[in-house]
Amino acid sequence: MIEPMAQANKQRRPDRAALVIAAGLLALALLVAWDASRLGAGGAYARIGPQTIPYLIAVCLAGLSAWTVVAAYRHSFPEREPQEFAPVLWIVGGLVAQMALIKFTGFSIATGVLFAMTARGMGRVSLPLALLSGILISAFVWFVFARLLQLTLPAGPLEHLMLEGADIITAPFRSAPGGAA
Amino acid sequence: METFALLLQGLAVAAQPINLLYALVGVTLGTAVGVLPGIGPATTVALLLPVTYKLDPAGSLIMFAGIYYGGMYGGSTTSILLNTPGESASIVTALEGNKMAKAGRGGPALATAAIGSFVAGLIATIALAFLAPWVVKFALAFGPREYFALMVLAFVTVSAAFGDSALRGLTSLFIGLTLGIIGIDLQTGQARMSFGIPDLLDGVEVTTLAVAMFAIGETLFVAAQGKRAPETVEPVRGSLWMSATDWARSWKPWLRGTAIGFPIGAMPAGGAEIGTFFSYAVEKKLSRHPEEFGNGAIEGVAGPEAANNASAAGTLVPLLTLGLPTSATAAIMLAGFQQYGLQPGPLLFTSNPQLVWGLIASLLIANLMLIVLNLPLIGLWVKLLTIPKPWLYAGILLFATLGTIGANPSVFELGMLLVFGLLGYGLRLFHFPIAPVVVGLILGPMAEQQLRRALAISQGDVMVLFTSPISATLLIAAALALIVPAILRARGKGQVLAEVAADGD
Amino acid sequence: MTRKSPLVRRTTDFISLFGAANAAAAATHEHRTPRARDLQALGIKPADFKAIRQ
Repeated sequence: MIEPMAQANKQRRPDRAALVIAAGLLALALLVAWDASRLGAGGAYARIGPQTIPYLIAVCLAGLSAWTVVAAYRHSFPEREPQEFAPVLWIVGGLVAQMALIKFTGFSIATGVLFAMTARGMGRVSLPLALLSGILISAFVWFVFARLLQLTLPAGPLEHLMLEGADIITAPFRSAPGGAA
Repeated sequence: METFALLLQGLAVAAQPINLLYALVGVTLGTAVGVLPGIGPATTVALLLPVTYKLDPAGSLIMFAGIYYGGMYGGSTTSILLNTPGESASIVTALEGNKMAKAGRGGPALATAAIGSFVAGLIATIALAFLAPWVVKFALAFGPREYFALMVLAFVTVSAAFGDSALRGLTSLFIGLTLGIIGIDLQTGQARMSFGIPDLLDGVEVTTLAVAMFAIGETLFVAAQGKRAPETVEPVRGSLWMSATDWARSWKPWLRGTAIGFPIGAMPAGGAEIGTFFSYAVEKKLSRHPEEFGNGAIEGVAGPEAANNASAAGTLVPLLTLGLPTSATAAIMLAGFQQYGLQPGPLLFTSNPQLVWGLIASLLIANLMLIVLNLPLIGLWVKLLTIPKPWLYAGILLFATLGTIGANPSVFELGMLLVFGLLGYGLRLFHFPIAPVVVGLILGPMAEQQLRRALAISQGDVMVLFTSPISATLLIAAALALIVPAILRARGKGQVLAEVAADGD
Repeated sequence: MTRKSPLVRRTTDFISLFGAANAAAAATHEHRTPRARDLQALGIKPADFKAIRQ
């Protein structure tokens, strides 16, 4: 006897979020179709060209959009749990900050900021402590991956400082065999 | 007998010290990510793809497979001790496993899970080795139209047939297919869906999408759930060893779990979870002590744990022999092959047998490493659970962006990571499955190529798809996989209504 | 109601069990609690399942 109760409690109004999804799918379908319409027929002799599959996808997306509208009116989308948006904003902010900073500050500082903001978003942490440890961990990761595994990771002031430091430390070892030869 | 010779050659490859090291790194990482909540084997392999493309292909693939197997082992530990599965494939284990731990029988629960995983992994890997050459022989006759039909079948089974909503599964799939057409068309050189943005001409990187969907989308989703009750780790009390009764009650579930999990993994069904639920139900039905189920029955740990490991091996059958990924992790592994210019499938068995058989043999070794790593060192893995959540997820995002920047150091790529991460969060929020998006992106362009090739041969005649018996059968199977579950779902609703009506009498 | 032969009953049992396993698996894959009727078909008490923290 649980199911019909739930049925009765549902409002007559359609599921608004599902309608937004349906609109998004329709917009995507139109975008794909518009893009396909600009494509030249790859070979005039071929009945299937670069535009065939995009058109097919566009038609299917439009169909799914219509289906979603039906689902919105039937309330067949599952219930959403309540969401907390503040932590999400912290993390998204961290990713945006990393994107904005990475060109100027290099990998370690930008990623340290991302690290700190993510940690802050996930729970109660001290922001300065998280920032400091984030930058230190990122600097270590940068050193391992950029220097030892030859990955191209953007370098900034901190990375140049590390390289100079490494040069100074290793200088005696490198010059010794050179001097002997 | 030929298989034995090939497997022995494979063992020689896998036993090279450097490959042993790769396998060890893989199973260690795999166990760790299996133990840790919020990060699974699919995410881990996706994170590692960009940072490993300069390494040796065989070694990296051995490592990826080790992560896959290791994740299945590690997930059970948290299920049993914390009642929090590290992997969704270990969720059933928590039902009986945590009850056992609370009753002071955590040791035997962990032991039957680990030994069951070992037995299942061993049998299933050998089954893989014997099944693969047979499938390969069959698949060598495949032309473009057969491959196209096979991919259509995979699309349907991954997205629509086994989810609980065909609508949401297909929507996810078509989002993936749409992302797949972005970039330059290989046959005509025309840019599609690129809107004049040069960064889009190369298409969407599978690794970027996978890392964004799994690592970032998952992190955002977990963050949005807010605070949960603090978790209590159930200490492992008493002996780790199983008593004679435990052994007697475990061995049959291990074998049955393997027999259930392997074919389900090998079917293009997606996910190891189905086998674990099925195995649990079978064990409860067959048990002489059904009243113990719900209160810590060892069969309810042994069977599902064997099933999830066996299905991990089963997934590798279509992946290696046909190049067909049937789960998210398999899709990422396919991306791993492709990053080295390798295409799994029948041809790989003939063109690169050392690699394929080395990989299969390394799974046997990985399995052996895992039982050593998991049973005596269990305390070490439990310690991992004490990492506070903020630091854990901050670290996950650090590595997620590291991989993307390392593969393509551009702000645009980071922007895509963010956009797809938000998309992944949105999909989770509205209960859209994630795997079809990734499978659609990776298989979509391949399916299009095969279709265009098939139709070029037939000069545009679509009927050619149905004149080959294999391709016709596969397409009919795809149609059935779409229609039959829909009927079952409709009937299921009917049954509920009938029960309601009966209650009303 | 007509009485079904044992073979038919076994087959329908198998199909409904498999269907329930599918539905429950799909739900957990998406961080959702499976429907109670699927869990009951699999011999799982829905309350026990709810106690598992995902």
